[in-house]
Amino acid sequence: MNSHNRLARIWAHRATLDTLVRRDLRVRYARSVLGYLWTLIDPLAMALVYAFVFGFIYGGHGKPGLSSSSDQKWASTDGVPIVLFLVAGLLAYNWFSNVINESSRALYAERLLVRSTNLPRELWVMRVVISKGIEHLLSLPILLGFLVFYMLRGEVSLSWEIVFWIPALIVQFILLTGIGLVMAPVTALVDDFARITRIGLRVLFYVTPIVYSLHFLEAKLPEGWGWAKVLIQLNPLTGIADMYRAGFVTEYGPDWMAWLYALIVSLAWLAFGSWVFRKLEPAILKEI
Amino acid sequence: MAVEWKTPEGEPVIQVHDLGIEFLKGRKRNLSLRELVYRRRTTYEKETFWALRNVSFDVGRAEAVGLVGANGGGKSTLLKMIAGTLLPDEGYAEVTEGVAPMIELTGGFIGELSARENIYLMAGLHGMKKETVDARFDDIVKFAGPQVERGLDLPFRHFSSGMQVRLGFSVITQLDEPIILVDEVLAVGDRAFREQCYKRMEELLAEGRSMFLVSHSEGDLKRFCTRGLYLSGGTLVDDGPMKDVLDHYNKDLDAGIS
Repeated sequence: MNSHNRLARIWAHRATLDTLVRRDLRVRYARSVLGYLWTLIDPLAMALVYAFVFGFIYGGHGKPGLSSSSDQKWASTDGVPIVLFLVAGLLAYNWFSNVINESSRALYAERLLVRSTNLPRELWVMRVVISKGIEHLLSLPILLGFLVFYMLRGEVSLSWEIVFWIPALIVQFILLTGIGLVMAPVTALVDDFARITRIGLRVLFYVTPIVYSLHFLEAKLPEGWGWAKVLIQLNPLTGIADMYRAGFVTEYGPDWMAWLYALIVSLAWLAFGSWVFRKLEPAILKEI
Repeated sequence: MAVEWKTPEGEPVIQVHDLGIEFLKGRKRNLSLRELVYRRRTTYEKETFWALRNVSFDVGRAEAVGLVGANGGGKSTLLKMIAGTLLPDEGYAEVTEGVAPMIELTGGFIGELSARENIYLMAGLHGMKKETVDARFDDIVKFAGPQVERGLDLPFRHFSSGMQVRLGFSVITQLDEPIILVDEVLAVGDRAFREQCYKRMEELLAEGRSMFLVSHSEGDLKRFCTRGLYLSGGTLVDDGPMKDVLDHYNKDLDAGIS
């Protein structure tokens, strides 16, 4: 079956995809008392922890005069309050890591259903990407909340570039679908793979400009380390996080290079993921 | 209610050609990375067997086919390949019509959701539109029996396994698909329910559907099927009228071949 047929089949089953996503959300939000609040509390708590560690302990923004960089406030985060800067990257990273963790079990956890229905198997991955994507959308009010808070205090201003949230969502959706299509079959076949990705995710958090900005890193890099910057720009999450910040980071313009890389790398993942998934599908069906 | 066929009359709805599938023998589910890397140095290549090989046949409209053979003969594997839930390593199984698979009936249900939600979910996963489920909801519930009816809004995990199978059967038999695959589901359930199932299957057949039945019960096979396929050791040994195929199988059994 070629890619065109596969796409047509997925499209034909979009109603089923809708059913699966609704089921996920219902199970997630119906079971707990606090329901939706967890979607907010979880990233909020993480954001405050990181802001405390990197903003106040390492950043030295406690008492004015104590810090060495007090002449330039929020230097490590492009002149934006660290909580705001960090939440923008953190929410995108959360969607990413949720999908990686969840999609690695996407086929195995649903093996009874996978074995008893003849749906396009890609749906089991897309369903994870979409459900987690909706949770991501539902967590964006945190970012909006901080944005409004700092705007009211006059510390940031908002520009029309806030519309870049839309391409950010689209590019990340493409990226996650691609990676998910690799994760789901490979983890079902190889046990150790899930452990490797857990380590990878942790590393990724720190090589993505989430708690620091790329400009800040660039300034800190020793002579001749320019390639390190390109490497980080090649990380698609760099471009995606930058898109989320374009609306309120005023000191610098958008990092177009990172954006372009993000798009290209995401599309490459999608192509690679579809290929891997197609190759491994017969083996997976035998194993689960 | 008549069945709607997409395939022109006279043409086969299921074409199985030179079908083969190879499994790893005595393998745990997962490979470790080490095994994957060193795979070539082990005897990996030899640890496989063909669960099915060189199987070819066609099935037309409104044919009721019974699969016979000893355990491990490849019956369930063949059924799954027709359902599309296993993919062949050789040849193909082309199915040109929709399939209602009665395989792993309770697999799709979620314990946390109510029976009502589960009915919509399961029917939706098998391609039934929401309006259709609305229209047939009462029939589905009624067929599943009064216990299910009373517990419609309870979490599904409170249902007994028998009730779960009833509901699964009830949902799948309401699908409009022209091909039905039945994998020994009739063995479960109490006698009253089994009778009900027989009746329902006869109705479905009377509407002109094609059916595949895997069963070890000679009675069931003779009751529903006109044509028999006899699988042994993964190959198709016999294909003919149900009665002849059963005789062949029984003769092999007595002679200790199968």
